[in-house]
Amino acid sequence: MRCERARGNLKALLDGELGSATTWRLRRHLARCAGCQEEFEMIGRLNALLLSADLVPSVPAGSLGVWRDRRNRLRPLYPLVWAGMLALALMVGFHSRDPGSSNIALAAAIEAFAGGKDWATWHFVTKEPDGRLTETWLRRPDAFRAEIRQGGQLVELRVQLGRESWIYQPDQKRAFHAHKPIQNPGSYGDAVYFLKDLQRRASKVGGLKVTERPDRWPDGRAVKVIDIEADYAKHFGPREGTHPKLAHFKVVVDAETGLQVKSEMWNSVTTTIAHNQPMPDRLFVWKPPAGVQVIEIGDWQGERLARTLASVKNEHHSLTIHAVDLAANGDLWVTASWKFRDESMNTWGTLPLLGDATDDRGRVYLIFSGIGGGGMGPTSQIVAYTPRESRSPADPLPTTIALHHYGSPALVLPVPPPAAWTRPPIDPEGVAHPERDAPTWEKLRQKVRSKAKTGEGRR
Amino acid sequence: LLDDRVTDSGCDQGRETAQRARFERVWEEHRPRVSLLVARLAGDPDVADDLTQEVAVRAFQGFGGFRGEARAFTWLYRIAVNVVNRHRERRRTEVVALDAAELDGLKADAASDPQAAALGEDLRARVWRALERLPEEHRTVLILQLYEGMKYREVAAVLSIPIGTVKSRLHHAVQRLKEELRDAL
Repeated sequence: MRCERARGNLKALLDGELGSATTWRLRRHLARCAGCQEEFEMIGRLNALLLSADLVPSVPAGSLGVWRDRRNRLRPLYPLVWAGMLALALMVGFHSRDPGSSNIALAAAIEAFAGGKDWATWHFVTKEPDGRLTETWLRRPDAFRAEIRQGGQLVELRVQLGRESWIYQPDQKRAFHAHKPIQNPGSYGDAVYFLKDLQRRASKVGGLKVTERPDRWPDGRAVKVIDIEADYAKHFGPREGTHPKLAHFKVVVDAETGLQVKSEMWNSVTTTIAHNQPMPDRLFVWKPPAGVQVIEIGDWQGERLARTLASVKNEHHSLTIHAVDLAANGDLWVTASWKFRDESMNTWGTLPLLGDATDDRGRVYLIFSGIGGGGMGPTSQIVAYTPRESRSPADPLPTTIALHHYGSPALVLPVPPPAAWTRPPIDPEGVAHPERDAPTWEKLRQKVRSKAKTGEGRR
Repeated sequence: LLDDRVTDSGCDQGRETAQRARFERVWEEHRPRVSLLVARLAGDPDVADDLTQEVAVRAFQGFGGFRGEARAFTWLYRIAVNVVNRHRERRRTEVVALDAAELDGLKADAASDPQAAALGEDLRARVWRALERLPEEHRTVLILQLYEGMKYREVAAVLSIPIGTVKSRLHHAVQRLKEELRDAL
């Protein structure tokens, strides 16, 4: 839909006067177009302003009774003006060592981030600070589709129906075919884990402020706005560079349904287009076009996670090495994972490690997700550690590998004999890994390198 | 409710009494909303009572012709819109628009209204002025839709215009108000 046409329909959208197809198309456009979204929000504010400046100062309640009964949809004549609502902001918790009521708002936020309880389908768009735009369709229990665009160009498509999934990278003319779900629509996103972790830390160190306030969304819906402020230093470590003193997160929840309307985390903004729209199977099925290389993955990670070569525990986590693979270029790929010791925190089950690894020859290993980026969570088909600098097949093999994980002692394990190794289906040299070379990882790598040099963190 | 001139015009006393009773039932049901609509459309609560009375008179005069094809509120609203628009036309020849002094007076009336206090009276006066400056047909549609909570098809029925016209008038009204009140949004 073009902006000109969209703007001619914004007032009607706000008034609920458009058909479902036009509403869907327009909401989809709004989620993608910041200018039209801003215009829509401005019209919403204008509505609130006009209503609150009503010429008739008061209406006896009794005089409206008949009307209300007969029409059963009377608009509130005197809705609180949007600015006034800010004054009604409800502080539910502040720097809480005893989270108490703060937990109520956090629980609502956690629930909203998980998508709420009562949706069958969820369609939304996420804008990343780098301009990447991901449009996602979820259908419970096991259907998923995501289109990732940069500068309007499709850079990746992911589809899943049951255990049949595809990841298509058009610029590489390559597609990965797996017999494994790449998403669990019922527990989408990593925010649940993140917020629970925040909550857990705040119970010990404080530094968490959660506020909830009522508001009205531009389309007239009553919403709850949950603002989360976390003391950066207390929750994420010493601030560096431009990190603000407080980290802000925001969730907007439909007051009636509890479903997420919008959320903002780390400059990434997710906007719901619709809940519970019909989504046919064809949305979640894909066939590779001619000329596209298909790489069969099977259930690469699942098969490895079912094995255990070694594990170690500390107060918070358990760390496990599941498998070691020898790649075609001579690299060792290590599949490892961690879990909270408190099982109730493991909303995502087993997760790949976030830290780095080193071997006894001083080689630094980096987290590597072999397909489609997204090194965290079950989005990746292949997650392993790969050496930062490739080793040649002639190099001597390492005898131990130390895995470093935040807040945990390093896990140092002997490298299994080559007879236990398997060959991965793809070569890391031939796969693009945005996160492997992303600047955000560079500092971590430097820390790991310096630790490796001084021998710190090894046991 | 109805003055003598109206009731005396009937020729059959029994029929007139029955008709008057029927009308009063309809009128009493809708009077509060009609009164509100009139106040909003007139942009002046002081004349609302007089104009509402005029609506009642005209409605009763036409009640014999009202056979219920339209819903009663559609019929009454149509009369109210016509009565108020005629009043505003007359008034426009006397005063072009509500001037600042009048608005100051209205501010004093509304001073005890907590909603008005929340909004801030200067802003409220600006909103009123902006509404007053809208073309009459845009203003009427906006008031029916926004303040009366009517669906577009209901507005279309009251004004006897197509739904598409309702939509385009609302769009233009919103565009103009947005420009006038931009700094307050």
